[in-house]
Amino acid sequence: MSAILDQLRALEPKGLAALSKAKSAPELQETKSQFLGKKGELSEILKGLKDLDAASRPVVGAEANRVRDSLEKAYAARLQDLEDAEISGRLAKEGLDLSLPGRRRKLGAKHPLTQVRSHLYGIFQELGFSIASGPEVETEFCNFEALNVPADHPARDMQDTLYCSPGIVLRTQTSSVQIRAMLLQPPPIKVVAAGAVYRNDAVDATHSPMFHQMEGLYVDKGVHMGHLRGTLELFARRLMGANTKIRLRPSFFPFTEPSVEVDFSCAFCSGKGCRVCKQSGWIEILGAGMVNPRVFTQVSKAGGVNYDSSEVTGFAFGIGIERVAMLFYDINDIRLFYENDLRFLEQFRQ
Amino acid sequence: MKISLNWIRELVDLPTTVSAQELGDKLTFAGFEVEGTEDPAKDFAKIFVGQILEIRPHPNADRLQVTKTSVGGASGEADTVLDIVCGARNIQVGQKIPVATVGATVPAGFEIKASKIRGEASNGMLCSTDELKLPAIPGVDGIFILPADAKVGQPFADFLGRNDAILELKVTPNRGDALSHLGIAREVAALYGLSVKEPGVRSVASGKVATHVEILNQVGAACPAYFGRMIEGVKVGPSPDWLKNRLEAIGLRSINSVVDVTSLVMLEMGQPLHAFDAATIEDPRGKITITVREGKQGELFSTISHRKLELLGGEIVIGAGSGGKIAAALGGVMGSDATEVTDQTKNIFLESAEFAPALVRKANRGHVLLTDAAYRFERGIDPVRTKAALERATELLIQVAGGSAGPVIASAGSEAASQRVAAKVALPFSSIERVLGVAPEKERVESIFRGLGIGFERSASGWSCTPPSWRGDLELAEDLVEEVGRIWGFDHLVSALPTGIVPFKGTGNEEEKMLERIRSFLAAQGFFEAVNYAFSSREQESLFGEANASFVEMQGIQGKEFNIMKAGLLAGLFTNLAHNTQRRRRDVRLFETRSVFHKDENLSAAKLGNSPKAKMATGVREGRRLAFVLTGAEFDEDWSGGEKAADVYALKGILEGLMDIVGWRGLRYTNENPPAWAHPGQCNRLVQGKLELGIFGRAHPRLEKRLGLSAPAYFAEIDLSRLNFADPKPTKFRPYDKHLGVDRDFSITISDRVGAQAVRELVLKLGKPLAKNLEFFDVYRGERVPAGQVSYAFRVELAAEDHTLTDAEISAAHSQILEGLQKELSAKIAGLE
Repeated sequence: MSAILDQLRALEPKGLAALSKAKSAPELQETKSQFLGKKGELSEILKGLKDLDAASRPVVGAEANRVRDSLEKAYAARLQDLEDAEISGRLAKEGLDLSLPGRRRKLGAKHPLTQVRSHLYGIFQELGFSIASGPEVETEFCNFEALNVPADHPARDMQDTLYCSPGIVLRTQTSSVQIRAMLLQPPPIKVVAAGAVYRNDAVDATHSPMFHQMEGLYVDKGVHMGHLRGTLELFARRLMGANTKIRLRPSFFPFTEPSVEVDFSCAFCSGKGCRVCKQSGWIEILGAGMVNPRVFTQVSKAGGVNYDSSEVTGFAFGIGIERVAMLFYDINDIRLFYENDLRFLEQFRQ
Repeated sequence: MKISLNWIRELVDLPTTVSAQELGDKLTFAGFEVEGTEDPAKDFAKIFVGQILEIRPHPNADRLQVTKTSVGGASGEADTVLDIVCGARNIQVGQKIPVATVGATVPAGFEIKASKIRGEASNGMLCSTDELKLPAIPGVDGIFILPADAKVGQPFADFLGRNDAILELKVTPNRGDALSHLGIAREVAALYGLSVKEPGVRSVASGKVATHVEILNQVGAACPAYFGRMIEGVKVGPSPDWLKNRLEAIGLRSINSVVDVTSLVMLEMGQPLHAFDAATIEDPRGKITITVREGKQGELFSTISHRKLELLGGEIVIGAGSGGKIAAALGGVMGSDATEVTDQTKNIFLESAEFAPALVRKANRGHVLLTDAAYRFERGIDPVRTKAALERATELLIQVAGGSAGPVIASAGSEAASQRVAAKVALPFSSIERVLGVAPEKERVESIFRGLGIGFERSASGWSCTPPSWRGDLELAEDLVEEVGRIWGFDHLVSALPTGIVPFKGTGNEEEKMLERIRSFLAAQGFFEAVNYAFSSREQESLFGEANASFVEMQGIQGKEFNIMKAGLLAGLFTNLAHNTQRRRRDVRLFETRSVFHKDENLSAAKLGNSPKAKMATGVREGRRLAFVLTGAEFDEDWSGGEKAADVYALKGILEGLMDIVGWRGLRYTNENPPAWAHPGQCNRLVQGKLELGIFGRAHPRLEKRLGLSAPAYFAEIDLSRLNFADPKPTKFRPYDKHLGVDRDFSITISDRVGAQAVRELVLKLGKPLAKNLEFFDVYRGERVPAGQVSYAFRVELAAEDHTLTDAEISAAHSQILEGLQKELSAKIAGLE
């Protein structure tokens, strides 16, 4: 018995040494067969088992299993090592310089005016406003008369109008959409509408014959000027930052009464005075007011809907989108918006 | 409008501590925005009249002297004496001189600081005309020596008489009453709780005049009041300094004493006046008959500036002579050159009248005369002050030009018209809070009314208000609420936030969402959004085949060649493309989406008759389009090489992506009638049923050349107005096939005129019901196929919803497709020959 045990005990270190020397997976496999295969050295030794007595067999069998396990484990470990080495070798060759730029098509961008408009829409949609729209070629009725600007009224001088034909104009303000929205739906109504408007202005750094506005209109029972103030205050904070303040200056628009110009505290200098706010600490942003009852009368007279000024009140406001965009992006020439030069447009990818 | 602060101070006792800046702010917050301030006194701040008490030589400098100079109580003390070093040689003890004290910035631009000059303290500067930027005095070199009676300690601006601040106010069109110093003084009084000192108006006793005057009104309500009078024996000449200065201070040019007086009264009281040379309008017997009449169409009128006008008809004409034949003036606008007051004028006929705003506006704007008088009449004058202004002007005229005045003559009804009282306006207590959300105390409301001259009676439920004669704009309760809010201050408003959605019948939300998806998609494909003007020129748009007949015309824009509204977007985008390639950009991708404009008689008011819709009818169809253009590489150039130029399929791929987004299915591509500006072999129209939805392709090489492009340009334009947001068709899930299908490849050669679209449609028809999809994976034209033929390789997916296909089913479908292709397209099948 002891002879077999000695043989087994000698086989283990011999096998471990051979496995550890194998240089590749096939060589390792061959080495493994040499010791553990059907005709391998372990099998050869165990052939002597049949000559042993019954009491010795389990002892030798247990030792044989231990040696087999030991060699199997060594084989598995060596196989893993060889694979690892092979993969690392391959990966080392596959190394790439990832500091080189990726292959792509550079992003385009929405126009800055679109981005500002979407931003404004988002703010007002959160406040429950829906988006309305109207045509750019507009009737004098919707653009002027219904907005309490009769023909031969000096208020027409406030804007230099472009005509298409008698009675048909290029809208001078998005306020015309107020009329269309009200003719579409009786109160309550809460809409914003953005789009192009037109004036017969000579082109310079701050004037363009076409520019964009956003109009807001809210008519319901019990709407008052505090609601206008609250809405515009929230708008100001969303647009220019949480510390923005607003102030209302009396003004005149034929379609609102009272009418106000609305200034935002200058976000660039926190109201201390700078180049942007011309040292005043305030920036004129928009016009607003309570809907003039004369507008309700005109709309109701045109037919289909009843806006009774003893029942409902409303507020309206109009924002110049270029004005906001110029402030927002620090753009000093309005013409840049319509030149469509990539050197301008590609600055607004973010 | 320019307002002189000194003049305002004559009309209201504004505390002297109120600065121009402060008053400007106050007016701004009452609705009169200050557009500019000139405050010449500011230039001379901290500069005073001083007197030299002592002069001694400077111990350390031969050319300098050290003075002790008094500036009186200027620095707030009883008598301040300053040590000042001076280099000028023309000074003597006792002289009065301008002294810039420490802290002053002299007009020449430097600041005065306390300093030591060669060891001697110097706390100010004796000034020369140079340093003060005043005209040099001939023969004087050195310090500006003032007259001996100059008052020591007086601010130097006061000494110069340059102490008047001028405010330029923006007066809104509803406030005609504020186009005068009296009008602004009223606002100032209301804002500070003061009362107005009306300009002294005395009835001038009628003296001896020879001319008999008669005034006839033929236009009725267009001229509610017309007052006039003779002033005979005047000496017309330059105005006295006080009058000249007053006008020049606010930027007006002095003309002569008579014209200046009429200007002054207008600027003071807001009533435009006109003076005629009586000799030019009297009849041969020396009588003046004024006939206020309508102008006749084609009637000639020569303005004071010698412009010859042909009347439009309907203007108000001040006629003289028999039947008012001589057109002496366009009422409320301007006089004629023939009747103008000149230095030779001896007798004057002075007019003060009220004219209807709309008719004055018609003449003023119609002939582009734009006079100060018309500006005021258009906005409405104070009818009650028409006669008072005549009296005021008469008194001043006699004062500056002599002569004696005749009686005031009026047209019939003038006296009554000038005493009319505005209709009462009911203002319930609740109406203030209803509009403003908050309301001041009733007593505060009433003090505001008093300040603004609004009469009122308080009852249990509200006020009954009588607006003053000069406030024709106050007609409704809301108009009065605005006055209360304006003077009380909108800073009293209490903010409230009305949240909550109010449903709206329009589809703007949905449309905007879709447009944002489209924009984001195109931006991800490398496109930049363009915004072009919506107008263009007929010539430019015609190049892109837009139908001339449907162009919407527009009035031109100053200095530009625009005459129509855009009928399509491609002309603009191609121009933008060229703009960028000219700036050495090879890869350019641009898109734009907006409405375009086409005439459509069916949408005109005439077609819609009297319906409410007629008021909204423009006769123009405005539909949103989307267009995009590209030139250059398909992908950015990179270090791995293999850059590929974009071709028409790159463009079509983007277009197909868009079709997925908008959900347009069943589109056909047709190459019929390619427009002249497109490549005839690389242009398709998109058709759905009978509707044309768009066009895409490559620009015609001639267009590419004209645009200066060195690489091909591709374009697409689609009509988004066909999108239906009112009736959306939401996606419905359909169970997918659980049984895997099989792919079969085909390779066929057919005539090149068939087209892939037809092959695809035919194969899917032939393979029914198992053929689910077809993908082309190779297209070949060339030596290996006969001329005029093309070889397509494509893969067909075969599947059934309910079972896995058997070999028999697959080969049946396969042969069905092959046979069909052979039969219908005479296709040669690869592998079969």
